[in-house]
Amino acid sequence: MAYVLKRLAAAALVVFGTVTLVFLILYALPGDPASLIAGDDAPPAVIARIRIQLGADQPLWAQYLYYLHGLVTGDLGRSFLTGEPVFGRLAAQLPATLELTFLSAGVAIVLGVLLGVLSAVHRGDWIDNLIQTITMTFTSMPEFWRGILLILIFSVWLHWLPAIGNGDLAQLVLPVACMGVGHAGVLTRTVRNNVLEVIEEPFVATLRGKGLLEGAILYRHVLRSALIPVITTFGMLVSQMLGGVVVIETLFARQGLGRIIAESVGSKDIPMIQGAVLFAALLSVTITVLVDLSYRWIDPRITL
Amino acid sequence: MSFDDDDDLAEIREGDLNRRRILLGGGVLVVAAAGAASLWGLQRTKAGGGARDELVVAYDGTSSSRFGLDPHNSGFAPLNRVMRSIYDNLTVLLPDQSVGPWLAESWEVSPDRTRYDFKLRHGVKFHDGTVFDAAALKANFDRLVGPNTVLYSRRSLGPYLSSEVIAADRLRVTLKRPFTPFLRNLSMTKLSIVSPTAVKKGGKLYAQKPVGTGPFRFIGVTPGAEIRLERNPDYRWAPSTAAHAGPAKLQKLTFKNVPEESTRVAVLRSGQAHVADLIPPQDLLGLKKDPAIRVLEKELLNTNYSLALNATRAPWNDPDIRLAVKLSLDINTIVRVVYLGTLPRAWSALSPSMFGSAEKILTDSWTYDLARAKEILTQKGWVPGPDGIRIKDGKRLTIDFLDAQGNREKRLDVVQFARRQLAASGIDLTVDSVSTGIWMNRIRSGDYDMTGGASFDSDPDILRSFYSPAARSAFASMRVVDPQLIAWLDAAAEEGDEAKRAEFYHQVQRRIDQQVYAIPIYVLIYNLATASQVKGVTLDAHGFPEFHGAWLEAA
Repeated sequence: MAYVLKRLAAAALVVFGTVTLVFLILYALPGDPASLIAGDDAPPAVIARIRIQLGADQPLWAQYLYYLHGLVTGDLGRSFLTGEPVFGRLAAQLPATLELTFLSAGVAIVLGVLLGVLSAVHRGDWIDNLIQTITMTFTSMPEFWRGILLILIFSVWLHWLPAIGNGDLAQLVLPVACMGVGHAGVLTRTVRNNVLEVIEEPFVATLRGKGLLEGAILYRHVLRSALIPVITTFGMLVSQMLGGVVVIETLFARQGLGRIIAESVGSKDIPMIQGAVLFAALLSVTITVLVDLSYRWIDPRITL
Repeated sequence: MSFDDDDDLAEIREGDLNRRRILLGGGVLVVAAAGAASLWGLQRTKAGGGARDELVVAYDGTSSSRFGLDPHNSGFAPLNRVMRSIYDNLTVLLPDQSVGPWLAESWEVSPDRTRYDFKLRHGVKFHDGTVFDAAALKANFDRLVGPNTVLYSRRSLGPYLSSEVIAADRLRVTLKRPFTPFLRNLSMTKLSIVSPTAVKKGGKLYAQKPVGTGPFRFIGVTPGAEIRLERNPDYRWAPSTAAHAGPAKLQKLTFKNVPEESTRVAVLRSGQAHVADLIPPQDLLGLKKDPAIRVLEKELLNTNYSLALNATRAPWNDPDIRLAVKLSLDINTIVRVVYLGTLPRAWSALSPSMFGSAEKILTDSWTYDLARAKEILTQKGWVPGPDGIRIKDGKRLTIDFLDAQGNREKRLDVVQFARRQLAASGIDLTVDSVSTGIWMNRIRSGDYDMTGGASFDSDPDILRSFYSPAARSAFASMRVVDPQLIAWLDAAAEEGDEAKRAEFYHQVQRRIDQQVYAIPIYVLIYNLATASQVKGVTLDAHGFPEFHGAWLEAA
């Protein structure tokens, strides 16, 4: 329990640090949001008035305290550009990004583990070579190009799946495949190496010596030890995918956090960027904490 | 030894329960995936789920998810294209660039051309039920000139002074001085008529809840992804240019933002969208030959996309150096290679169809001349350094190209091409891509060597927003102050005689060309590709798409 509390405190510190850093970076960047909002021909008086409305005339520390106060009370402010509450806008976009990243990570894990084990078991023969070649091809292909190829085959030629939008599951297949397959390639190689390493360990030799069947050794003992890193990888995958989501969201014309961040950075919509970064940080930290805690649940030998 | 191993085994057996947990978890995942897969199954998604009365348009809204349908505060062409279906205007631009009546049935102009008496059409209602009358129109003008905000479209009203309700259907608008572009400007989406009730209710959020009088009304949005409109059943006030007078034939009109060009073509070809716009050159050639696709094209009335040197900063403040840059550019080749013959090369500041364009006068007025460019640079003391880039007083001849738009309309491809051609003259161009905010700051403070841009409008007066300090926009990439140019532009804005006015603009464009304030590159031909069952989509005189007359034919 003490560990859990410690872990949560550390997580809160990470989120706080991220938020502070982003706040400072945003204010250090050139570009005046007030004159952006005011528009083209705004006289200085109008710009000054908007600056006061935004609170941008206050000293930095005052703005920071005001921002923290808002955070604590659950108020992320309003978009500089559209005037919408930041929280509502982000909350509306979040599910689209979540389903994309989690499903993609799921696909990556299932495919990666399956192919990795298969590859390790058949190490050296044609199955191994085939899997290695295929995964190499997929991982070295740029994500963007992989996506265009998927659209061309499954949407334009075969007419099986829609290429754009979000809403129903069919619209998720291509983007999820595009993201999942790429990461599955990396994972396949990790799993293959892990399995091969564990197979070399003395306890496996002992099991063999005791006369256990190869299949039983592999699936009951080796796989289990080899899979623990996969859980860690899942957490990392989701975080990584959150970072790369903007490309997929653009290509498949989806809404989502990535698009919001790209747009807000372009127009220096500070509250929106801060909100989006906060969401991403919270998500990332939550997953990491959950992954850490799950070790104990999965393998009681690991003491926390 | 054996004890140790046995201990290991014992531990592993203890862990069996946990292994089952892993397997259980994995199993759940697999079952979930299988369930999802069966749902995805063979589902074929067609545009609008096969509904014949919904038209789906895949448009290039760029990758930003910026969304706001306030016509008075957006110079962003993709959103203005959507707004064309939601809003109407006082006047309509006719194919010959003159204006005709729309929500204003007729008007009288005072002899000194500072007073406009508009007689308004009867029976026009906004989507929220508000009646369109003189008070509603006055509220629109008041909003535009209001002291507390500066809306993007304020500039298009020129020297507007005030307006006065004379009767329910009559509004008198007074200008400070004659402003010839006035009636033409009133035909642009930038000056579309918004519901005053909705503006009051929406406040700052109005752009998210737009209400107009147009053939389609706004029903909802998925930010960044799509904008949903439905038919306005009461619509009976289409302009004379419209295909038909009554309400739209379509029940629903959905604009999907598909920023990636190859995806846009893919959704059109696979039937997920009925219409796709801004088809890239490489696909346009193929789609034009495809019998299942129809392509509509029309020049967008605008200032041609031009490269502009910062003429207020050394060494670009020297017209000879600017000329050397211009002569180094083989624009015919750039445009032919980048746009594959789908777009014509531009010669003048104004696009060819715009009133007052000097395109015909300036065509072939100069030729690419690398030798001459090198000669000028050498004469000015810029001599080639060790890496071929010219040097003067220890300073290299470099151009910092400031970009904030990315490769929209393949503009960065153009710049990359120019970079290679300039290198042949010994000029080193580098592209500096920054966010819009930083771009504006650096343009304002003059911290750049070159940038590029275009601006849609219906009247040549748009040039004042580039060259007249009094009317200049923050986006104006030209910082030069040329009193001769300003005098001509100001006189042209007031000039009532069409021929004289055109002559002013010809002089202006000749001077822009001779002084190399801007180097025009290409003429944007806006395009729209539709599936062959789509009928009745039209492009208006500005080059904006109209869906009022569109319908879907049974396959």
